Amino acid sequence: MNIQINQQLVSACQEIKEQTSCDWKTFKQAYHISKMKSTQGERLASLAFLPELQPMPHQKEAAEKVLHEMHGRAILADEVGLGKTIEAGLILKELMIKGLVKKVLILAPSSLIRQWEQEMNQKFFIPARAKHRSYDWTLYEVAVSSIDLAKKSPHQEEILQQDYDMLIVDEAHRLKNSQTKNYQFVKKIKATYCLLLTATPIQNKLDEIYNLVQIVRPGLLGEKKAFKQELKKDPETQEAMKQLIQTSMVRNLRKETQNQWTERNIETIYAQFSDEEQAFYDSIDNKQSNHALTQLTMKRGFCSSREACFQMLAKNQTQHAIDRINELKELPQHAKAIQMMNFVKELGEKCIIFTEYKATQIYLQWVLHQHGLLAVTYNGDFRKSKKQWMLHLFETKADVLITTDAGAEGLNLQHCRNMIHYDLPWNPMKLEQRIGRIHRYGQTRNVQIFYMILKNTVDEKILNLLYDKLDLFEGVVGELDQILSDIGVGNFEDEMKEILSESSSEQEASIKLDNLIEVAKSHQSERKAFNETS
Amino acid sequence: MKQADIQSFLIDFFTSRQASIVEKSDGILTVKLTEQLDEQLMNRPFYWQYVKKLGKVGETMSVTFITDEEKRDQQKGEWIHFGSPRLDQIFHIIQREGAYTVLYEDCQSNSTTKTPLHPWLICNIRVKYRGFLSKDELVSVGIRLIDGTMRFQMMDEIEHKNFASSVPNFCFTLPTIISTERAVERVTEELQQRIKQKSTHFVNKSHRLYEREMNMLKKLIIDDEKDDAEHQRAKVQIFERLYPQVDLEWINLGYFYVSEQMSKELIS
Repeated sequence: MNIQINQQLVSACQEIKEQTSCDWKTFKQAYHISKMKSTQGERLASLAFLPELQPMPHQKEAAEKVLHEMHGRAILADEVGLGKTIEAGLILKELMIKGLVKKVLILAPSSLIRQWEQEMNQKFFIPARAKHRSYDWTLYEVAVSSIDLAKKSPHQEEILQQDYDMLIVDEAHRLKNSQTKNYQFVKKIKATYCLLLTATPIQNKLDEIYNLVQIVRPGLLGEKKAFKQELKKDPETQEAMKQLIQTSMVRNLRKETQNQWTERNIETIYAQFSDEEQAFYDSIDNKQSNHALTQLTMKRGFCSSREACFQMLAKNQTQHAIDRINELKELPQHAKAIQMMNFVKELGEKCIIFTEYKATQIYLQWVLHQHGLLAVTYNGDFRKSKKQWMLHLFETKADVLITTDAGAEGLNLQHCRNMIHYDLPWNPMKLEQRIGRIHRYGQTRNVQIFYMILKNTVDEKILNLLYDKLDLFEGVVGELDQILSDIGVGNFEDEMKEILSESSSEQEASIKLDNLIEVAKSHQSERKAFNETS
Repeated sequence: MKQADIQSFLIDFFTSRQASIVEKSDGILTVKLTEQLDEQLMNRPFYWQYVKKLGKVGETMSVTFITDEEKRDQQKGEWIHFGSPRLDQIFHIIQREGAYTVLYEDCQSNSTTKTPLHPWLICNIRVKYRGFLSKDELVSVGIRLIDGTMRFQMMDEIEHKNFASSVPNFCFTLPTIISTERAVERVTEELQQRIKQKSTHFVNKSHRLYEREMNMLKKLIIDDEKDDAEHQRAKVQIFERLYPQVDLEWINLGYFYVSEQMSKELIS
């Protein structure tokens, strides 16, 4: 077997000899500095330069693996809260120390730009700067920008002219569709090294991972058509394909990491509708004009707040809707909101509240305010500066942060340890995403999670059917979507809605759900190989 | 080097480059730079361009470096530590300046008979492995330019010896017999031989993975002629990544003239 040796030592020697001769001490120092900057065996050289950073074992391993075995091009797909940014920072720092990387482009959702800037500067001493509109791209050594800004003209053209040493894309699952402008733009960026960060490399279909791999290692999986055919073949071929994907992906699961996570306590808090509210709620079922699924959506809305329900009704201009709105107006303050407000007061600590509805967000803020609690809201519609201001207020002044799922993506809120799920999401994966905001790398205290549940409503049904059953999965929840997509069940969220709305009794729904979980479980072991890092 | 050693390292760096130490206390160091250091470190090319155009003498900057973390907030100055860009800048200056040397053993002979010094070439080389994994290794090889005798781990051996930049009194240098080019060639050949011998596992594993990915690629190409460029790219990519390769690069090199005694020690 052969090894290829590349060297031009003789000709390079002529160049060196043209320099002025140095003294003995400088010669020795130059040698020692080079030694310090090179890998000592398998260890990272950058750690010597980052005395204050104490990465967890899985983070170090991930960085080593990407550097030594994946040549700096990889998908970092750890579960939420395991510190993908730390891994990316370590890799970047290592390559910068070795002089292999100077010019860097970091693409992140606009809400996370500041966070990236801070972490790179404070933890890694990497001079990352957020891209300012009036400065040229060429002036930045390490630029942080949103894809939305970067893909606009004239930015796109300027970026595509640059030769980057390193490209980092955060929340890279946004690139799963190869037809989108975002994807095509990112694929065209020239970069020697490339890291894609996502906690959910596959959300629905395996194609998605194909598209991500196409960016980090073009051609690795061959043509898409062939790739899909291979996947349909025997388990052995499938296994080979998975192994191939693993050569460019690092994925750590929370349960596999060895460090001591702080504990996670989960508690359910029950509220009870007032009689008037219960009557309104029950009447949703009786209105025959509505489709089962619409009824379910309406019920969920009403379990959240009158305002959320109102917004759904307001879309229709029918006489029926107008009547219902008038009925809504007569109802007292929402029982769950009042219950929650009391709970927050008792708790006496900062907490984060998640809701699925923007209307509820504002209502809750009002309710809390009425009782002397300062709450700030946060959602995906806010501008970057407003988002940052809200987070700052939450950290320094406010008692409560009320946020939606879309808004909170990728945020680090480990300074807070309490989280209230005012509405339970259909998709348990979302729940994991939410909890990951506080139960993550850097959290020093035990984390408290609270579900707010209205008795005798769809809230309770979801809790009983979905969450209690899923606890049996012991942490597989995060992969459930992937498991289901593997066996041809489309979107988990849709599947759940269908089961709940079409079952005539709770027992029926329960049985259907059991079946679904059974099927998923039997595929779990196959799935596992995929997620293992080695 | 630890954080506590940084201050003495800085003092050494600046004084040996003729900068003056303005103030020095525990963890705090103020230095008045020389023009050359100012240009190298302070990144203000417009100022220097302007001053030189006007034919004036520029005013160099004074910089305060804080090495004790507890004093960071007490005093104005730069917090300097491992990983700080400033220290890295300084490292780069040393690496650049330290690329080449000609040195003589500092033998304090007071005999009237002249001492001959034997010529050695020291090659410090970075060996970068690329294949199923990438890693680097530093090698230090000395070769005697009289007969081509080689010695590895050269730097470790001479680390604590003294060398001067000019020929000491009562010493003279022996002429070289082997040319520099030939010496470097021989060092390279020997190095290649050693790399091949010790990396069979690395080579085998890399080859195996390389073949596996190539085969997988062949399987995946349905219509080989459709997009040949794309497939070629994929093949090149796999080759670059997995085919076992080694890059050899200079760290620095130097001519060392040593006494017969040291020359013998180095060979034994």
